[in-house]
Amino acid sequence: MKREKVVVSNRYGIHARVAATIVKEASKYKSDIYIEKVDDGMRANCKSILGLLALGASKGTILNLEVDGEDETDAFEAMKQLFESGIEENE
Amino acid sequence: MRKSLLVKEIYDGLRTRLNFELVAGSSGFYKRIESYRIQKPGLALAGFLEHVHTERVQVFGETEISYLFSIGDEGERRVNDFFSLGVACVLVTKGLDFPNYIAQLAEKHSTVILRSPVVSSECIEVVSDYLEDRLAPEASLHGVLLDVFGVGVLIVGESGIGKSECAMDLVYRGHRLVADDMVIVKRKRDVLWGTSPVRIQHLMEVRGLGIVDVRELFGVSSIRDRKRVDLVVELARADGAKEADRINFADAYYDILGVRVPYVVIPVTPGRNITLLVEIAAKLFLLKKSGYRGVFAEKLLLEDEVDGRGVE
Repeated sequence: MKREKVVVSNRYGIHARVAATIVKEASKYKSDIYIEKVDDGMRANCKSILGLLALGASKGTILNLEVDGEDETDAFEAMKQLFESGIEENE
Repeated sequence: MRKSLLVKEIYDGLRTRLNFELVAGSSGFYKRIESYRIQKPGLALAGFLEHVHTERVQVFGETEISYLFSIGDEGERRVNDFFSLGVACVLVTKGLDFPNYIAQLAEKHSTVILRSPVVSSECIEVVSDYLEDRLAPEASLHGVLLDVFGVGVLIVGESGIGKSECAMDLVYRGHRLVADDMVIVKRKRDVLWGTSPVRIQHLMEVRGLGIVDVRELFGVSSIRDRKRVDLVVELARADGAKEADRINFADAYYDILGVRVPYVVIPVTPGRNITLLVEIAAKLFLLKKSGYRGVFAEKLLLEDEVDGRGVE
């Protein structure tokens, strides 16, 4: 399992469109992909849009990114890059 | 990990409900309350200082206050001894007037003194209820929680297996949705209560249709804010490792926060009416709860076989 901290860098946090982008990317991989809010321990499955929205992660929120599964190395790199790039907002 | 609450959080949380007046000792706001039970420190004030739980809210009612008045100056020493144990919070009820030294001693020992116009019995009820709720062990689970025939059914299973579609079908048939996708479960005593995270309450995601508001679509009777978790139904791929139980002799359980919840696995294959099976599982749960022991005990086996050997 791979685990590392990432920071939400989008201007409006993880809102619906951003969540959809995360789900789209995460669903390409077989691994289980979770993010967890460091401050209250709330966890969401990155393949589920409602879970991501339930977090209400705003800009600057620190998250633990957790990837577990056979393609975890690729999945982890892709997800990490997605968070670091600020996630495309104008799709 | 043991959960606790800052006195400040309790003050903020119940301020309106109990009309709190912050009397003294706000420097004790950082102290922690670790139990939902409260204590009435009558004997401690009489000088018996054992079994004082400083991490509980201490309630000063009519008895405590009138006792302190009755012993005059001695009261100051007793209260000093009591506070010096590290008492976090004292709640004076019924809007009672108390001896002046209490406020000074509270500042000295950083004991928060709150006063409420509400009577002791009601204060105790409200404070314990609130603390029990806030201190309850909690977990967030991936699944859907519904009320099916009055049974709280938690549907779990891997992503894409069809939990939400099944849940939508159940709602369509008149059952009630509590939470989709993420279910917050709290344990109170031996009972599990499930709710939805506030931000996604009454929402459901259906692939192809996006996110829909169940309350808007099906009306207020199609949702519930919280429900006991009575039964866990897992939807599993038929080709998965889990062998379908063809006989269901033994009862299976699913562990949530240390509580054993009755558990069934439903293999998903094309053509099976999953919704119907979930309804049946709920009905079987109701039957068992009303004392029915299953077809083997009732019909297929002799009594002594059931009660005696080998059926477990």
